[in-house]
Amino acid sequence: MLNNIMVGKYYPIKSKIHYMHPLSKIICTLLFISMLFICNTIELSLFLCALTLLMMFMSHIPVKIYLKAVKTLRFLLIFIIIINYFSHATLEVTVIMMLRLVLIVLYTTILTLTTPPNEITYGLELFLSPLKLIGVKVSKIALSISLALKFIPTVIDQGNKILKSQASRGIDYDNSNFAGKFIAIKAMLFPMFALTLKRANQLADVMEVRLYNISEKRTNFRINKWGFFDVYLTLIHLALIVVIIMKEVVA
Amino acid sequence: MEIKFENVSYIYNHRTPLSKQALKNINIEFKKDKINGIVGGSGSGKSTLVQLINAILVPTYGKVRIGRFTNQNGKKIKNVNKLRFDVGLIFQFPEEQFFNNTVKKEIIFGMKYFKYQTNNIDKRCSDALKMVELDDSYLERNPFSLSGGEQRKIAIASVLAFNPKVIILDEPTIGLDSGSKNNLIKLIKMLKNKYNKTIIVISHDVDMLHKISDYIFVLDKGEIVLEGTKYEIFSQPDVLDKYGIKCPKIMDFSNMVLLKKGIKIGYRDDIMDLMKDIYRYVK
Amino acid sequence: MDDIVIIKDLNFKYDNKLIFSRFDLEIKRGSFTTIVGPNGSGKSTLIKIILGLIRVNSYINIDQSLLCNDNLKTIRRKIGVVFENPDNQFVAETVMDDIAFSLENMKYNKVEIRKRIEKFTRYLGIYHLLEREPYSLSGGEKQLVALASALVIEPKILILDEALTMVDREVKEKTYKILQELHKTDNLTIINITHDLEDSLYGEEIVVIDRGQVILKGPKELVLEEEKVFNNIGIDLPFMASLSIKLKYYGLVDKIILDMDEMVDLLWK
Repeated sequence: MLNNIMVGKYYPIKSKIHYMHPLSKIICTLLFISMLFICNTIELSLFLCALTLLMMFMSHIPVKIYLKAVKTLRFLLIFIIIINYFSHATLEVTVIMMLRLVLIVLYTTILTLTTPPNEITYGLELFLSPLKLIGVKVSKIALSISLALKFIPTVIDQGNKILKSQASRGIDYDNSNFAGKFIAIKAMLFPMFALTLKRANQLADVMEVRLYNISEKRTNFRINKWGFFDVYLTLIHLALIVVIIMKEVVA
Repeated sequence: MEIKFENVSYIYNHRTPLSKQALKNINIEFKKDKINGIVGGSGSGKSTLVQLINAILVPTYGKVRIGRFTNQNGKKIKNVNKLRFDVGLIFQFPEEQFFNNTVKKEIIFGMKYFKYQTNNIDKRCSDALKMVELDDSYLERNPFSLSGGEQRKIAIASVLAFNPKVIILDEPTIGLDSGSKNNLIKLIKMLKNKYNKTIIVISHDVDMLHKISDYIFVLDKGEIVLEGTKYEIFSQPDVLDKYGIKCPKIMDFSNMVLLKKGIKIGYRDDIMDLMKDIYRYVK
Repeated sequence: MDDIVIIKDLNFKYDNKLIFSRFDLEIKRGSFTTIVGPNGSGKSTLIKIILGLIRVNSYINIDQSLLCNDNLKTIRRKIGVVFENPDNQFVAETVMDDIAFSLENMKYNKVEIRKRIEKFTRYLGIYHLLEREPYSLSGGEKQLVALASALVIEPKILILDEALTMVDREVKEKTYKILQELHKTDNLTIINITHDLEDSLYGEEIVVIDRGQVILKGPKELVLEEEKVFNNIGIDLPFMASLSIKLKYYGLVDKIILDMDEMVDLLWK
């Protein structure tokens, strides 16, 4: 049951996108999201859609994985249609809104599917590092995000185990009505919370003993190197956003 | 109650790049009213196997027959809670699932909220405690304040409250010190002898399995490679060694005497009996 | 041979419970010591104190340095630890990154890191697991990864905190063989904490702790004769020790024999 939450988890295969440096991927993602919000015409939105599809293709990840991510949006999309119908918005505006939602999810899913969590946080840390100059504790934030991401699969795994265990005691999620499901989740959350806390404490001890120091520099053993493709893709995104800005501003 | 695996295979994440076959064409018939031991190295598929017995998992191929129920792909079991009445499965580290502040609530939670049996809940609770040799004084205690061995017993009691005919224990003695371990061994034997339960125990602790099992199944890489009485199984150290399984030390001794000296002293359960055998054969 | 760990007069209370009172312990450099005691005897707390995770005011000397706030880093560089729960020790998404973690923190360069990872993973037979996610491994494989992470810093002391209690016997024996090798060739001091006395057969010395006190200490052949002590604290003797004691009582052997081969040969000359 909980496996449905695993949307966007790192998908370990080889592709040009997988080999990119995390910083360039983050920059491209942010540029893309900005472009999405700047553009107001359907042609440009469809163009960005084509760009997304191209990158999805280059990531070599099966389409149905991406579809799973979009599936979770279906209610929201219907909601948008309904709202826009009642506020008499044009078809074009509605389509652009829906496209924006779908494309944001798809593009960020490309990021999370092709970049392991520690690389994402490394990239984020690099990206936010200018903020260190104004006193923002970038390293601490990056560490918190990194640990949270790292633990998602284990916590979910633990949750699954507890659900199964509770099922043997008669607290069955899968075979209950709505009220039963609610109680079953409650019976899962408490032990899961307690276990996660215990794990967090033990892990903190382990990291301390293994000489982790948040404020010190360390060798980052395996981050993808910045390569030609990184430059290429980042420049393309930059060029695109400049073009889009000019089009929108001029129009 | 018959428990039979017919050509059962289980594949995790079937049809994805992360697929992993945990069980291959398993055919087993567990012995009724006996203690069935399942032994195998890490990754042999033991935990997957028992989850197929109370339908927490559904076979990818094949059928599992549990009394009048059949667990197979494509045919969801109606009233699976009735299955849980008959088959109680206790996972590793069952005390990790506690979330109530009294032992009583822990034991009857499933029954009470899921309305499995609304009459006589309190009596069932006391009966369950009696089965694990704890008295009613434990009812109002906080489960988190109990020792590891006691917690384990309470977790077992919460499954026993359904009075299942079959009890499955996954690594019941893991993490316990000698005192608690011996206590639990006594308990499992009593469940068979006094309460006539069919018991299935998974463990990598062969010494413990030797003390309690009547019949043993050996799993290796998802397949059943050996089965027999414990004496039949543990008198084959070279075969077991292929699968990375050691014999209980008490059997190992007799095996070694036979191998090195050609003398067949008995296969024993108890060290005193072994001692008497040694004495007889040395003099 | 000097002492690599010296604890003098340790007093420690937790939650108003007295855990250690006037506790003394010395571990010789290069020894393989098993510290054994029932659950709740204070074994794990002792390890936390030695690692500086719990700060105390008592005299604790590790490898000729006094344990204090200023030199925690230096001392921790010399100690590799494997904890009990395989699931709660992983800090990275792949085995390789996890093993590299300590070395990254110690600022070793990438070449050296790669070299050491290859050396130790090959030695432990887990080289093929480098790109796997730690939580997808079996229990035994997880502990081997944790062991690699500890050994890769080339510590002077290796501490196993109930590290092999959840692991099956095959992995246990394989791991202990490796530890015995390391102990011989690299003069590694090994401290193995366990509640299972069978594990003490792989080491040399035994220290028995109960309720925050050392109640027995010495070479295993002598300590394992003390049947009454172990009965009192509720720990079962290892099979060979138990058998030896009974055979000795009936006059068939005259001392504790821990090796099964030796015992069989002795009985049937």
